Amino acid sequence: MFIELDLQSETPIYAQLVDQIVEGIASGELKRGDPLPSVRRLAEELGINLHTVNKSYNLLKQEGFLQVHRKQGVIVHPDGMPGVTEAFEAKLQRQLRSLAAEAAVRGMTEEAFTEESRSVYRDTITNRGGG
Amino acid sequence: MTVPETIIISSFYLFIALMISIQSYIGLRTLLFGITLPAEALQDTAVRGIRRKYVLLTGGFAIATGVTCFLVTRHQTTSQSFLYWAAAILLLIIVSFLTNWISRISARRLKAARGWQVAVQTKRTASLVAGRSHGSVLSFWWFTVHVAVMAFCIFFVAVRWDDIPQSIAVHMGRSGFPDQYIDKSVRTVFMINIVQALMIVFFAGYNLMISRARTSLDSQDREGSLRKQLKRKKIYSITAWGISLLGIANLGLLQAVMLYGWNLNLLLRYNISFTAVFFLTLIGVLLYLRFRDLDQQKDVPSEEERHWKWLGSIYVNPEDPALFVPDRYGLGWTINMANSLGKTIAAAMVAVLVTAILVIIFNFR
Repeated sequence: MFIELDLQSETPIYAQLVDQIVEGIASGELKRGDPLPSVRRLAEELGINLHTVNKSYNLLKQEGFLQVHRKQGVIVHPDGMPGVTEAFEAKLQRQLRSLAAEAAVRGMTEEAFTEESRSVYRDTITNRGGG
Repeated sequence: MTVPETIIISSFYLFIALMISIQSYIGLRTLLFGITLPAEALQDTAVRGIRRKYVLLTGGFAIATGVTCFLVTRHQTTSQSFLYWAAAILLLIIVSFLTNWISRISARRLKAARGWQVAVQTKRTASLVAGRSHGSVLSFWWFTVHVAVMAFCIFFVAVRWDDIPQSIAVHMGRSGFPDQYIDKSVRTVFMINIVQALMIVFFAGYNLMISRARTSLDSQDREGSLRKQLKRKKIYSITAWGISLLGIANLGLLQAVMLYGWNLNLLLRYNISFTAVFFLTLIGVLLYLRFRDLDQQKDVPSEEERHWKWLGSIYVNPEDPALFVPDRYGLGWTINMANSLGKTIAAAMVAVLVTAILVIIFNFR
């Protein structure tokens, strides 16, 4: 699985990293228990500051997506992912609200919006690259 | 100097002259003496002209110096000839720095005149799987072969200690008889094994460096560039392993000739073969890398010119956490000298090399 960062994006680098790792888990490219490179290693490979990678990993650990394993280092949580929390629902509503508003203003119907959401959800969880 | 010695040292000079002269044609094509060019510049005849001028100037000087040195040292003693050839190589390196510098200025002027712009890439790509060093180089267990060879040599010495003469011949004169001797002692008898040990440390360290170096990827072709980079690392690792093993065997053979009176011709034939194998392997590897397009990958985080000092040979980038990055021309790897650990490693490497050379020089007095 590859990480691709855009240094000129409006999204901060640590957030891009968090998003991509979560997407990787969603698509199945990263499976439960899969090891990730160490903070230092990933920072070296990307040529970015260690603190940025550290921040991303810490966020993911706090949320329960990653775990620190004694021998393997950082791994995708082997015991299953955290469930839907209130905090997540609030985040979901917050981020969807602005998109829904713009869609409505631009004249998109509720059905079209729902269909788009559905197709994005399905694309994300489909195992990329087959298998 | 004897004929075989002349062959060895002049072919060594020839190899260095060749490597220095064709410098402008190996590695990244989009790099002209450290100046980055856009893809369209590759078709420009002026670019080719700058490269050609460098080869003619440097190559011409190399030939002139080499021929002069050959003529002058024909009737000198070995140590004097050695000094002359060493001076010739030093001179060649200095001249190549100058021609490099001049070519770089020409390249910069051409780039400005043509108005070429190379946008700094703002995408960074890394593999989460190959981020680990596993599999990119030969396992360190492969170096036990080197240790075994060295241990065998040491064992041989220990067993045959009493048979070793009190005066050890260290140089063969023109008459075919030894003309320089040193006294037998633990230091003089085992000095070659010390050099072997230092060589093992150096090359195992080089192997470690390759495994830890950043794997540069192309965001437009992630799988392909990853595959190529891993293959490239493997090739370098195997080549270094093989060459160093032959070198250690060479030293063992030298020790046998010195201590047990083995046939000197055997050593000389091995030396000449080894030198030939070394040159051919290096050239072969470079050609193979070019044919398979394994040498054209840019390393995005280090591509800005401002990070490369001293004519593009030293990398200093405090924003880059990596210790080892591909060198400017994409041929090997280099140390990030902004990193304090990097500076320590560079100093240690120099220390190991200098120690090995000093051990040889001081024990041959």
